[in-house]
Amino acid sequence: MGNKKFDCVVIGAGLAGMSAAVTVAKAGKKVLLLDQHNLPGGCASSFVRGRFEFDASLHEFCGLGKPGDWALPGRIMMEDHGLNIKWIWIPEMYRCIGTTRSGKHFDVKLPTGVDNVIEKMEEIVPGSREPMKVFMSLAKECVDANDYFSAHMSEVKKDGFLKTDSLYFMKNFSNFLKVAERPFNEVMRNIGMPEDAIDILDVYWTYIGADYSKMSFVHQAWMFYMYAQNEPSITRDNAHGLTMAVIERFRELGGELWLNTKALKVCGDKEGNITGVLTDVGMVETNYVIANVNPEIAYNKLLDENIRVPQREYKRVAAEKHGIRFFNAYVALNKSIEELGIKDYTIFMPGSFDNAKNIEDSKSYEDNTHSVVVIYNVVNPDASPEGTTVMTFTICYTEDVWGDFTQREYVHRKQELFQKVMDNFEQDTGIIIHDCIEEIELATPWTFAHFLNTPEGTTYGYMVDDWDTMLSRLMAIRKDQPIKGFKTCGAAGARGDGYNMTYTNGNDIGKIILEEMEG
Amino acid sequence: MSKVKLRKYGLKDIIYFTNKPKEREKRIQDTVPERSGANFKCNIKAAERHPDEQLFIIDKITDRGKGVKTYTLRKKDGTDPAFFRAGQYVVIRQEIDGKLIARPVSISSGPAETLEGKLEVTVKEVENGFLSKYIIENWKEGDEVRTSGPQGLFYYEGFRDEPHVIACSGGSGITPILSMAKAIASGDEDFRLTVLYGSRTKEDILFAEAFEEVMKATDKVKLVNVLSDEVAEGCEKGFITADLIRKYAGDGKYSLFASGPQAMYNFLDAEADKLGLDFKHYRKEIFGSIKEPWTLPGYPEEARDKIFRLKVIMCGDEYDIPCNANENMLVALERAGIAGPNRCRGGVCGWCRSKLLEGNVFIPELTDGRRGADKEYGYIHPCASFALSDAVIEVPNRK
Repeated sequence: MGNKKFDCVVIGAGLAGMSAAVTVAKAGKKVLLLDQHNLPGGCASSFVRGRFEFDASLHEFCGLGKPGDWALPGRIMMEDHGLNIKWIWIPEMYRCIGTTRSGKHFDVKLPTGVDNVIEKMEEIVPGSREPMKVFMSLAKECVDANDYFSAHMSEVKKDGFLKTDSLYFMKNFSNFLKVAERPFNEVMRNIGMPEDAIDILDVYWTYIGADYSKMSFVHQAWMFYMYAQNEPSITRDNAHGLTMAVIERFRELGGELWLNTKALKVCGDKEGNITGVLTDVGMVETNYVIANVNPEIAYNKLLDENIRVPQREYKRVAAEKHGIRFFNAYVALNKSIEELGIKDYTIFMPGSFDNAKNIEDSKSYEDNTHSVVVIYNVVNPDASPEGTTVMTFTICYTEDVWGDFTQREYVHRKQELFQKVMDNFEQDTGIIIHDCIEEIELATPWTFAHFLNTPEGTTYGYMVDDWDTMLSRLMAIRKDQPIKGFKTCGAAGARGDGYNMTYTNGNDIGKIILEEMEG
Repeated sequence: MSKVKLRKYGLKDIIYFTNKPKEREKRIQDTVPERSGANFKCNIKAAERHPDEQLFIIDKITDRGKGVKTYTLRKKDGTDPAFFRAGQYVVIRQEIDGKLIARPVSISSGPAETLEGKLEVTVKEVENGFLSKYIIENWKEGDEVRTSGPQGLFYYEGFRDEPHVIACSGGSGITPILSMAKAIASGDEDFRLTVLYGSRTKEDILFAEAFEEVMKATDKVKLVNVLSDEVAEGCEKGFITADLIRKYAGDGKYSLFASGPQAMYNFLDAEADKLGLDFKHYRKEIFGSIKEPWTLPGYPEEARDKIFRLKVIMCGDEYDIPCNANENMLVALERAGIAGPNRCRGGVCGWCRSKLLEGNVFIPELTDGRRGADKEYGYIHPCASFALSDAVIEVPNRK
């Protein structure tokens, strides 16, 4: 191998890594993107079984916006990065089936459009209209404040936190300042939202993986508003198509992608300056490294002993809790959605709407059968061959409940769980699928640990907790990246999990590295 | 939307907001740092189940005659081989003349035997079979053998398959079926298995004793030998036809599994048609790479027998190698000693996925297992692609 030298090396071609790579390459830098797998994308991937292709993870992209009116993540992807992606917008929020804490059974479907959602909530739970209006107004302010904040992240105070224009915030986003960090359910109650309505709004919790009695308002409000206002979206050629669009753009910008290539060490000189990345094809010289790697793994395994990791960083990664992880059933049916009577794209089947109980259940194998069902063909006729259907069932766990199973019982555990989930689905919806399954793949935290190499097979990085909110992470985005020339990005980063958040975080980190390059 | 007035929130909440980052910092500073970053249970389990590589010692060789040998393998480090689904294979990675050659080989032992530290693979020497010939002639007890982890999708799946499976197999294609039978006997799988095993004569039947043993342990497995060239007591005479399948299927529903050479599939496909079996009920093991692509529809005859130039880009390095149009492109990479990751050799697993930057290739539809976006963006699976011109491809790292 000859002498290989790059302005920047990005380790890990997950969404954040790819995004960071495009941001840096777009500034005219020579960028190398590495991935240990033979396929880029991380979670944003797909796999083929028989005549079907399954999307590995993209259920609903949040906060894309529309052409000419892109929201923040959409703006980065479509305008700043200039990606060529064929989006499909989903004209519904969700259907949810279950029993609220008051004992009432609901089987309801929320449309998109802010006004439509408000009216629908009033119809479902009378008395919701006025509080819903307040909720949506506050949520809109959260979106605007977040946009403003994201556009002004470059000034740093002496203590390492971002400098913000408090007067501007007081003038324009005073409600945001008051409620953003308060617990979501508390704000809902304080604006007079009926309890049944709170339960129904809380079903999104699996998308964030947090306890809504503790999680800050802004997180759910931003997401809910984005889904309501902009509609959820997916790509016509699934998550792998999205990944290919990013990689193609990266290549156009002169970037190099090395697959099946493992970064063994990030190397430094005696002064602690980054000098290169040792890969399994040899040393690559660079002074700037972005790792789409969980910081705990990066600090403990990736950096060589010359690179000094401040004690505060070891404290930080020790303080963080590993976030949620999934059981996924990817199912292909040899009947069409019309034959089966399927009309909904997303169905939440929490059984109970009690968020606190569900969080408790999510720590257990036996009690956790709360699933989210996504049926791709409802919005994408190209999702599978004519006369067939592809769908996924997802269950999320807030603790490691799969780690103690033995190799021998593993398959039976997967099957036993899916049987329960499928029975629930058939009972709740009346849609019968068990006799027309043509392909099926059951993935667990073991599977995600295998493909992503994340701690405990988590897919959502660190838990968004009441002490570790998205905003306080964002305020510390530079403080949490104290090593000159080395940054981490991804779901464990400042913005948390999700396609939109990780892609945006990659762009943030790419910009920070560019600033360091400029000195 | 007009701005709302919040009665229950005020200045104290703004202060709460402002203090949030400082509170987080305090929590961080109060934490006792621990250096870990390793030993997560799920990651350990995943690595055990899906190892990149397993290093074995050949414990025992059983010569089954007619160029078929079974190799009993034990891990060099004494740990158990990766647990697998009965019907899966491992990829043998063998260095020959300084070049790494990889070929999938079926597992003939049951999954429960991994818990006794044992994995058996059965190899049949095939005509022009580069690696199989090498193995049969060279492997001896005590040798080291490198394989992949368990691979492949040819296994029983209760949510998809009927409780009764009729498995049609020919020659050494019986190995994954034997593994399934053993898994039923050990309780690791639960379905009724009727094996229609095609051989030329009684002498050609493999693993007769192994099946006897399984059938002593469970009444869920039934073996029917189907002899094409001989009449023998207790055996069917002829080929595995739709009528024969019907005879053993009885009235109930069943899934048809097939494991054998391409010639058997060509015959069986027509019989499956007669039986009206849909995709769900008819499953075939991958038979390896396509030979003689010029026999397939759409192949441009003028490319046959040509030797093209292939420029290969790997991690920024370039190689210029010959590429025989009659062989799949992965073989060209192997001959040049630069083959990267690969597993199934049948276009399905996607491990050898590469980007075709210039040139034309022939991709038989039968083994085109590419993702939709890969087709659009010009990616190919070299193990299932044949060069039709000089070409440039970018391949994954071979390490």
